[in-house]
Amino acid sequence: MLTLLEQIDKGTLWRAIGGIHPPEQKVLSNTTNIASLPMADEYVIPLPQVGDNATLAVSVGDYVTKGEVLTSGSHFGYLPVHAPTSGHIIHIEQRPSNHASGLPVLSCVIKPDGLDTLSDKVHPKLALTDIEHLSNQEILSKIQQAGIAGLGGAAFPSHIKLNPASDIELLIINAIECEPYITSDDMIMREQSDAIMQGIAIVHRLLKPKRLIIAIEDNKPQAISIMQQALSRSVLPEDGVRITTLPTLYPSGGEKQLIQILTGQEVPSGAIPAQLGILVQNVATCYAIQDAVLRNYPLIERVVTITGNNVAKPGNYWLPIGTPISHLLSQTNFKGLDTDKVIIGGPMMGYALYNDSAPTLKGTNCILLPDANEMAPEQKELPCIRCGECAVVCPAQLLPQQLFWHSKAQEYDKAVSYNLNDCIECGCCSYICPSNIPLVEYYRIAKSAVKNEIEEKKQAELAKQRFELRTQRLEDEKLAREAKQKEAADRRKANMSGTDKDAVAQAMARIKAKKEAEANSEVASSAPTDKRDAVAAAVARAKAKKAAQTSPEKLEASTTQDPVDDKKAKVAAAVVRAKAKKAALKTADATLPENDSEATESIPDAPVAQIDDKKAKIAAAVARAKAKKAAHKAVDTSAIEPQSDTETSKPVPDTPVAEVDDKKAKIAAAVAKAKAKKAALKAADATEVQNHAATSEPATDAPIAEVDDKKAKIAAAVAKAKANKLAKQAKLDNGKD
Amino acid sequence: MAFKIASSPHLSRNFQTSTLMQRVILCTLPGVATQCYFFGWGVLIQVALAITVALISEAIVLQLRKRPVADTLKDNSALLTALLLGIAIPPLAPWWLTVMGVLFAIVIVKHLYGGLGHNIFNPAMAGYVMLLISFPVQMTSWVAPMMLASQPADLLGSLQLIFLNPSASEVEAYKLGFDGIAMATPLDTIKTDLSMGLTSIESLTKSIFNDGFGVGWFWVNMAYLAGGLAMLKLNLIRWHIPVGVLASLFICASVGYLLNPDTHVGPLLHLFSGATMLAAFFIATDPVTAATSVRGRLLFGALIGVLVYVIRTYGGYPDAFAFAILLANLCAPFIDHYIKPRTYGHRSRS
Repeated sequence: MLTLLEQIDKGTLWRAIGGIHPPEQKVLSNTTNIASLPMADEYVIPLPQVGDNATLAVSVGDYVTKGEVLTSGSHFGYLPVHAPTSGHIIHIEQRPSNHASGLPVLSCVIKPDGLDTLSDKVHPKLALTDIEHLSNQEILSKIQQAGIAGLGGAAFPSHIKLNPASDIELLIINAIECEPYITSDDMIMREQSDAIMQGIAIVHRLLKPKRLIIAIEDNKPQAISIMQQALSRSVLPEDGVRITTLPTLYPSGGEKQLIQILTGQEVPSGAIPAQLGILVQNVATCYAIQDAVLRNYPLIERVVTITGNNVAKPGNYWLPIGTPISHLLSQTNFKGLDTDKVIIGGPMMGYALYNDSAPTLKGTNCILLPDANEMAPEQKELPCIRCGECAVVCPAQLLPQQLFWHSKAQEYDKAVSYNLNDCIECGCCSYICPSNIPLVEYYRIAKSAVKNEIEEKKQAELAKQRFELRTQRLEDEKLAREAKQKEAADRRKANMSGTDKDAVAQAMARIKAKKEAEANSEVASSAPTDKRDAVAAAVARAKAKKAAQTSPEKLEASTTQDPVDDKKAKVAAAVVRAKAKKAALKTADATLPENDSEATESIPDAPVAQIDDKKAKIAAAVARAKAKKAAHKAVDTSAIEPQSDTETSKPVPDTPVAEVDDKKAKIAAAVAKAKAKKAALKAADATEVQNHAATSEPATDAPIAEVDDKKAKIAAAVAKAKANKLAKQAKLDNGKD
Repeated sequence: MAFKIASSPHLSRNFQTSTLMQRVILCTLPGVATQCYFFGWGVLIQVALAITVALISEAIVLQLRKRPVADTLKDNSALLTALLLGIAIPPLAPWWLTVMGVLFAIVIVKHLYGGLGHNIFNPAMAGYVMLLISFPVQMTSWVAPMMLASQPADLLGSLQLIFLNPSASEVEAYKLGFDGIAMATPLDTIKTDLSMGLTSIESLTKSIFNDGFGVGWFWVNMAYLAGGLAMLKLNLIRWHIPVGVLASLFICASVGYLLNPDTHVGPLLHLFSGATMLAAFFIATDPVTAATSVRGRLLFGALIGVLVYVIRTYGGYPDAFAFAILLANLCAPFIDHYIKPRTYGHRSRS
């Protein structure tokens, strides 16, 4: 069993999977030498990296020399672009891109001065020996500064590719050029074989691979022999370096397919060849690398095949990168109509360009200008007959008809399960399909839909995360707010005084009192019924407390329970009682003392309610006075001896005290007295005693409601007591009568 | 200047379904001609009748389905179906048998399932099986080879027999050999003889067998084999299904013959009798109803071969290709689901 490297040395080829043999049509363009075209009126150099990895190094109006760099950047992936000729920058603006979409891209437009003055950084070509002292990093830097990208079509930056993370065992120089029509690599190999070998030697030096294969398809015999000779002349070691000829088969030039044919290995799905220790480099890129490293000459021109039956002068041309397609169409006598195609690349994988003002790019290897009969005629898509030819030709060993079935039904998940993403879009299946089904187009649509789906999923996931974070944040904020509020409340509670607490209790009591007042309207008539009266609140409180303690009925009946802390008031009351007794003894009727005692007993009601001692005294005095008068009147009405007058004068010393203390009380008392008198006079009329007693009460109630003064209330209470007394007296009188 | 845009690839082999079908039809011609040579004008009459009915019925169905009529008829698929059914029906079978079979194949089996590319069963074989089950007497009345027949049918006689509702005795006359014994197909003969206690060697001594092969049938099979090889050469079909069918039939027959030569017929007789070559190259390879992957096709073909052998040897029918193919059609989606090629870069095996 030979090792892989031994088999490579023997030139073993492995079986290619799938593939087709489309008409090659290479003879159209490979019979003439590489030519040049007259200079264009303007060159359009797209600056796709500006705004991303690069910044503009020039501005409109600047003069640039050929090879002068137009951008600057320091990013790892930065790839400079250079002026393809000397001239002035006339625009930096959006121009149609050389892309299937034709979307505009920021481009630098240079008007050539026709002198083609070369940048002074470009120097005469050195020999390979002159760069031996350079480090790999220096060489890679030169390659990067020259803006070298893969010229096979994908235009991947070479300085990244040539700096792989792992060791490279096998370096493959891809000179397959399997697409029909294209001959640019063929021609550059024929004309620049030694320079290419120098480029290969530089790459070989960078990577130090164990083996190097220059792979050429057998439809390029001239190139093969020329390269063979150049190889023998080159500095490349004889061992481990070989030119391998492959049978012509499309798409054996695909990187993955080439590796499979040359090594029998497969690049794992989603991986790069470097993981197998293999690196594939396009042959024309090696020429550009040599130019960059040995001459400091940037990548500003390349060989482009211009071919097809719609062009009078098919062939290969050295074209400055940035040449407008329209210019080269006119220079090669393009005879097509707008119903014809302008294909960038080959007929299998190239894209049809819509707008010919787009420029050539670093990856533009061919411009195919077929006439109406050259390409496949437009034919109606027929039903798939499951012939399976597509699966036979598929180099990726996919099942194209299953992919088609699911792609068409938009069952993209199923299409992915059939490895949709391993499709290299080589076009073999579409080429072979007897039902004219544009399979690759279906796959492209499906792929982009899958890509979008993934993108949308990603976006949805982000949105979900955002939403969750927001919900979390709101929740956190709410909790924080609540904690803050709780803390503040605690602080307030801690700072709160006893009075504040009382206030709450008072408010509670007020509410209770109101309820009770309503329930016992008869008794509570002495209490303030005006709810809106805020000033009376304090009084009400005190009353309410009491009311809560003792039922109103008891209040009237048991005066002894009431906490009368005033001695004077008691004394006064005792005095009054004593006087009353005396007066009663004097009176003939035995019922009077009862009456008096009732009257005096009722007196404490008011002071008890008022608490204040002074007022109590006043009230007592007033009561006494009233009692006297009432007794006096009673005497008068009952026609008793005038001794009562002397008796009434006895309490006089008390009265001045009351007068001095409070004028208002006196006034109130006077008013009450007056009223009492009137009531008494009316009572004299024996027929309507009950009525009067009833009316006298409302009379005393009214001032209470109006006058919010405590004293006024006291007076009122006193008046009430008097009125009671009068009423009883009147009753007695009536009884007597 | 603005140009036309289109998706790649811009090249096409430009080899259409209609061309494919047309070439397949051309490749059947040697077999059809041989069949005519041995079995008379009836073969051609049935084929012509089948094609006419197929084209008319397909046109009507397409009209009903609101599909382009002319374009679809041009794909030649109905033509091929009718041809295959026409050559499978006994040459002197009554006209209504062919008409019913073709109508069933085109209208029900093909178009009611969605038309070309969507049918599950091979239309020709489904039509054939329908006839075989419904009209076993007519479908098994195969005529004697011309050179062995006591009364070979000429063109006029064939037309009369097919279209004029002949009496049973008239038909019977064409089935008699020159020895006056009613002849069946070679496979039928062996089956009957084996059931009557004869050994296969004894059976092969009968006049219908000539040097170990059925008279006429050997050459018919050879002609279809030649047509099949031409199809392979022209890349009209891939080799996997025919090889699968023939190899598995050969292997099964060899094993059976080696185990018990008296009650089993040899592998070569299996390969060159009945519809073997026609079915292996022209019917089993119908892409619509077959498996699609390379390994799947080998399995699909092998399955047909095994089923044919089993039914021929142990079943009630002398030939079994129609049943075997329909059964394999049923398995095709299943095979496709489980047998997928390993995609490039996906390491399912090391």
